[in-house]
Amino acid sequence: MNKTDQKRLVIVIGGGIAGLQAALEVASSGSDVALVEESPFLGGLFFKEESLTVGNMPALCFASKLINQVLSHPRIRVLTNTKVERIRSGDGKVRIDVKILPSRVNSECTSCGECLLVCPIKPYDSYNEGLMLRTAIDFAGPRSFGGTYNIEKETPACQERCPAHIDIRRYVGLIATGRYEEAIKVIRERNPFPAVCGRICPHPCESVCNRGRQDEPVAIDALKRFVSEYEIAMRKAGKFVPPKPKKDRKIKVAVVGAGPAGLTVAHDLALEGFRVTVFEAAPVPGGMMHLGIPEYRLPRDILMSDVEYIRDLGVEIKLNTPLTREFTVDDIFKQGYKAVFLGIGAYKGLKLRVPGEDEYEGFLDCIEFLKRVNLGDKTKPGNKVIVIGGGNSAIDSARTALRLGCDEVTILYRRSRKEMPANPWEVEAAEHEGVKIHYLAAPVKILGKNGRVTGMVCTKMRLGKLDASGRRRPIPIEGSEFEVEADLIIPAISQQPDLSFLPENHGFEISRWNSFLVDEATMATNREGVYAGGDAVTGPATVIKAIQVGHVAANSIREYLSK
Amino acid sequence: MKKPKFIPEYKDIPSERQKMPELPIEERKLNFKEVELGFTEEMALKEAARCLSCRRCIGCGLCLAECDPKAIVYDQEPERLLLEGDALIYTGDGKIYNPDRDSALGYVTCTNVITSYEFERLISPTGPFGGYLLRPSDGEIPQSIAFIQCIGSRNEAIGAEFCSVTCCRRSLLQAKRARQLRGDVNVTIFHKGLRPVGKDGEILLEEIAKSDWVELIEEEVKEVSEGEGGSLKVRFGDGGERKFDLVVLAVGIWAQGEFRKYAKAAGGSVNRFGFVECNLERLMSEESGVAFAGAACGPALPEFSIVGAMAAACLHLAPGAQEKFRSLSGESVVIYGCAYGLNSAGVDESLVKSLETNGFKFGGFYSYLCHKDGRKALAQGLEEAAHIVILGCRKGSHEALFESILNLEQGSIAIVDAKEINGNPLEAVKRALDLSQIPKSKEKPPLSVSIIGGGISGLAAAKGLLRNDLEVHLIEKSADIGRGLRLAAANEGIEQQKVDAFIDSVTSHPNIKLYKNAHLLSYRKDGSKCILSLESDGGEVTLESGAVLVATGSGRFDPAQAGYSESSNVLTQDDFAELLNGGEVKAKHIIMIQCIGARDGQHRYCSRFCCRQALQNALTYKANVEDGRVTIIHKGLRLYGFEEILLGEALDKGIEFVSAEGKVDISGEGPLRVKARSKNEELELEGDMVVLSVAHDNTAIHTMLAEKTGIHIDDLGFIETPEASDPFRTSEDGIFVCGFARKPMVAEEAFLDGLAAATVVIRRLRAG
Ligand SMILES: Cc1cc2nc3c(=O)[nH]c(=O)nc-3n(C[C@H](O)[C@H](O)[C@H](O)COP(=O)(O)OP(=O)(O)OC[C@H]3O[C@@H](n4cnc5c(N)ncnc54)[C@H](O)[C@@H]3O)c2cc1C
Ligand code: SF4
Ligand code: SF4
Repeated sequence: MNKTDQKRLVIVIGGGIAGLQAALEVASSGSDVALVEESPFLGGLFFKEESLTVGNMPALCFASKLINQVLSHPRIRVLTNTKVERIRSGDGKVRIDVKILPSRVNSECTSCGECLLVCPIKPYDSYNEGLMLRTAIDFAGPRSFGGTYNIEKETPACQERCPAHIDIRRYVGLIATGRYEEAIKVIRERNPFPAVCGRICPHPCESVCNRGRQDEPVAIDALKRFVSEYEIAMRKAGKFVPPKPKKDRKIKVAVVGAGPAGLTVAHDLALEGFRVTVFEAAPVPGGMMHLGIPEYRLPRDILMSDVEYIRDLGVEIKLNTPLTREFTVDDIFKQGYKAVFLGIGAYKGLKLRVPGEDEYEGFLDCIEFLKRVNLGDKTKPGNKVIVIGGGNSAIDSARTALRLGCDEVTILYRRSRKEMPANPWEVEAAEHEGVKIHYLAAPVKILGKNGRVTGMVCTKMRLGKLDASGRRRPIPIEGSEFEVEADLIIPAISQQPDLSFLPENHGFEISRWNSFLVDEATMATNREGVYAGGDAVTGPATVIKAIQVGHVAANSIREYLSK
Repeated sequence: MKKPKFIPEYKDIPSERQKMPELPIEERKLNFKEVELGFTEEMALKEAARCLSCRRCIGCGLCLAECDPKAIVYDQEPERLLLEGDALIYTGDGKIYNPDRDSALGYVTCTNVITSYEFERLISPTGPFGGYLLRPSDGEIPQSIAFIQCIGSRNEAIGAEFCSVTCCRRSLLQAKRARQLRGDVNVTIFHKGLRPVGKDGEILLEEIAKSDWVELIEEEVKEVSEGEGGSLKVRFGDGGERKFDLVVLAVGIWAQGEFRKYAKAAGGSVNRFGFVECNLERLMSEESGVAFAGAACGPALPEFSIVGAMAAACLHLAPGAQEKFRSLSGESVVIYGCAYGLNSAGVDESLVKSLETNGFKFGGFYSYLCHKDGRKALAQGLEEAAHIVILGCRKGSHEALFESILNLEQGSIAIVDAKEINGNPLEAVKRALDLSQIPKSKEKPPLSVSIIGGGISGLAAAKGLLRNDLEVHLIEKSADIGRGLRLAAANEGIEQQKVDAFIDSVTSHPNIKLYKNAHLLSYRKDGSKCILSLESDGGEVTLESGAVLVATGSGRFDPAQAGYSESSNVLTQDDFAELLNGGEVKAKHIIMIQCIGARDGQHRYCSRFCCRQALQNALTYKANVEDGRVTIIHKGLRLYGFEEILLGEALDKGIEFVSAEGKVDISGEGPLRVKARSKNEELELEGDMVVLSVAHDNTAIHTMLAEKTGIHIDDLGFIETPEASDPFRTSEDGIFVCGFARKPMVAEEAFLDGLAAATVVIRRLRAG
């Protein structure tokens, strides 16, 4: 780019054919152009394709032609490996903050290709959709114009996949050599709940672990559990030196909800020297980790040891202190807090929408049910229990009911096993313990007598023929209705955040799923100084995702309060 | 990395995954004791040792040792930058749907189940098998391939009730290529109604459908599982089962999370699937600093991405004239040779050098002239050159490339392909010089454009030209400029006011002149000027402009030609729309018939707008007449992208669909009776209004234009655009075409087409 005089600059984001073409058009009209592409290489998706064409030119060749033109255009500055971190616009200008990752190959490169021959490290070639291997030093683009070289140094598959981006390779390696203390520190860099996650994380990392293509993935999660227990033992023996928070900044931050999202924010900000208070509605800390996930999967002393760790950093957790229409976000600001994080989870069970619902006793939403049990009510709730739904909370409810001594526990699910969203290993365990699962069945009507549930009318379902849209909907089979007896029915369909605590004029942007709308890059809501994250934003998700957004939010709050 | 399953490696690593000890089943009643018991230290050590520690670059230094210019910097740090621009164009790609969440498809477990993008790479010359059709598990040649359509698209259960547009066409083309690669391969396509997008899509589909090596099965696939030796069993429909060697999942395109962020920055929004709203209403409203193109607005063909990009660019072109190109003013013809190109064609370098004896100057050999050193050398030789000839490079594409690098006038560089040399370089060079004459300094064309047609694309083009300070003559054959846009906007439910405001912003612009009730008398080209004479409201006029843009839009096929006589209760969708707009429709059962004059022997293309219009009308009707009934007779619906939503709504509202082929008869007095023939049954329906979805047909106007101006008409009756990568240029220099006159499209596309054409015309006129 010849930056001789103050000229117009147009920013084009995306280096696929659309971005390339747009850049060329604008540049040839006399503007300067900055072409920003996140990956190391230009070309985008159509650069993989030969079948689809532009005119009679395969998309790949067309893209390659455009790349040539763009790379040689004097007025286009190409920024690959470049991530846009923030956009702002105003007074006729668009400003973007970008982070350019190193390609580790500078402009002296002559495209000789020798490096490709010697590099011993062979990751999957993502340009070729993982069908073959490439080298750690990678090349793409039309060779005639130098293309682009890039050395990828950062991330193994497992770490890339882990929502919290834990350096798994490092900690597993440390465990292998017996350096447990260092291993737990590596985990704690990214995850303030190692003991919890070591037990209940659905471990997406394992599903991409490269060892899995040989035999089975490394048991990453179980290893985390192992070192977390090592840490707990050390703490009990007083041999553990907790990290020291930075100098007190004397700035107060409020966190609403003591679930993993909120506590992660509290943890990060406390370490940064902020004074954090957590307002929690329930009598116990931990959010769904305490109120939802059953003890047989996550013993409470384990959970509490992770919570204590955070308290020890100086975080104050005020239990039994809900935000309400009388105690609002505005009131929090009035008390001198400079920023608020809302991590209030998703507690409102969705309705079944069948007649008889809400009419009888013995009809209990799964979150209500689990909460009751988890807060200490271990009485047997009934003899015959039906759980409706196919997700993890349905499985947890069923297995919990079994443990309370219920004689017969059945899960009713309207599609077939293959569509069931619950983790397969949980379904297996449930069946193993004696839970019956009824596939392709849906409730029609709740039956009751004297104000109590007595059973339910169900219908068998089949998946319909392809309709004009090419869909197969579950269709009730006519005349297939059947009755089941039950004295407890637990719907476990799905949940949404319960926003009834917000006053009328709360001013937040709310999605059609009743969750907070935020800027994903910062987790900022539309209200200044208020951030949100976790299930309150995504709807029911996982602990590790809540932790990840907790980090993002904490970081944005820190930046916001450092201004 | 998506598919750890493809490459077998690390075979020699021992030890199995440690089993998690568990609480015995009997001990799990009446207590909440933990079920999983955790690893012992011994187990943990063993398990951790299983990690392959697989990594990216380990900094071993081998590459740096080999690297002559020492271009490798291991510890380079990330850099942060603030870019301040006057405008932003966002063109992020969508993401390929990952089919691993549906375990029944076998994608995770079966090596020979691959996605369509993987298949694309699999058969590519630059892919793993160098362009041979082999399957991944064992490198065997597959005899039978199954394509499964709509994976991650048109699927309510996973929140994807949209069509990813490109997948059907891709599968059809991939099937064809597979057959070209292996003459004995058989293909089966499992689909939910194929939608072969594109102007020639229906022809492609027809060709494939009648091939004896293809079977199309309209059934849902239930399960794909691996059998012996890597072959695959596909279960489908009610009890169907087939074996294949390779299964290709035609995966869709989903929105990227960041689309939202950019939509917001532009003051816009995303639709419920996370794609940026780029509907007609948004297109007409005043643009903000951010424009969108590519998959951000929804999945689309590459051609459309290009058009979108040009349209977005139109909003952000630099004002004023284009840069000046340098003209060569030296004395001699300078010859360069690309050593790479010449060597790989086996041409002796000395042969090229011998040209010096013929009075040419020799600039040198470079291993890649297009590469850095070569470019430098070319730049140095400019002073002496009157003309530059490069031997051994790529003819046709690279002239322009070098010219743009060196900022030279068009025609300054001639290229001789290595193959052309044929032992006689002198001949070849002379020929090349003859062909590429530096244009004599021409007079500049005027910066004005005559647009023929005041419909959607014509108005959009006018808008684009006007905002870039060109003058526009807008020529409309009727008295009503913008009728097409108003109709389309009404179908989309856009307020009349907004449409009028947009039309007004164009027609009342000081740089536009309007000619209504106009018809073309003659056309001729005078140097760089296009001269049109026409008769219009204001009498006979002669217009001089730098270019002509044909935007004559869509016409309607006359249903009488197919044997339908229109009456008060047999009408076209356009008339029905107006009727609905105007108020009451009393009919209780509406029968719609699709594809009248489309996708038949005479009109082999799909007109694109009619299915959408039918559904929109049907839904409006249902909103007015609650107990009314609508039956739509179709030959396979063609609803692309988010039009799928309309289909969902239609089904929810109880609109009925009948898939029928062949002609439909209307007969009888009183209630209308419609006979339809579907594949295996005769149907008779009774209704009190028949609405015909008549196809596009504008042949009469195209023929008239062809006669008057000399432009060509293509096989399908549209105005021909011979240069495939320059979709707006006709066969006549100075005449351009956009919108429906060049291919079928929907309203938003036509709008973008107009803007994009404006960009191209501006580029052309400013360059002179
Ligand atoms: C039955 C069940 C099983 C699960 N199993 C797993 C699993 O195995 N693995 C996994 O990773 N994830 C699992 N999850 C999901 C996981 O628990 C949640 O995704 C995670 O806890 C969400 O974290 P959060 O911080 O966003 O919200 P939460 O953990 O829900 O925390 C929100 C907190 O906010 C409080 N709160 C709500 N409203 C107010 C208010 N007005 N004022 C003050 N405080 C308020 C709540 O009391 C709660 O403490 C499970 C969920 C359920 C329901
Ligand atoms: S890219 Fe890294 S791993 Fe590959 S040769 Fe270079 S230094 Fe070694
Ligand atoms: S083997 Fe698995 S756990 Fe180890 S680094 Fe590779 S992906 Fe991560």
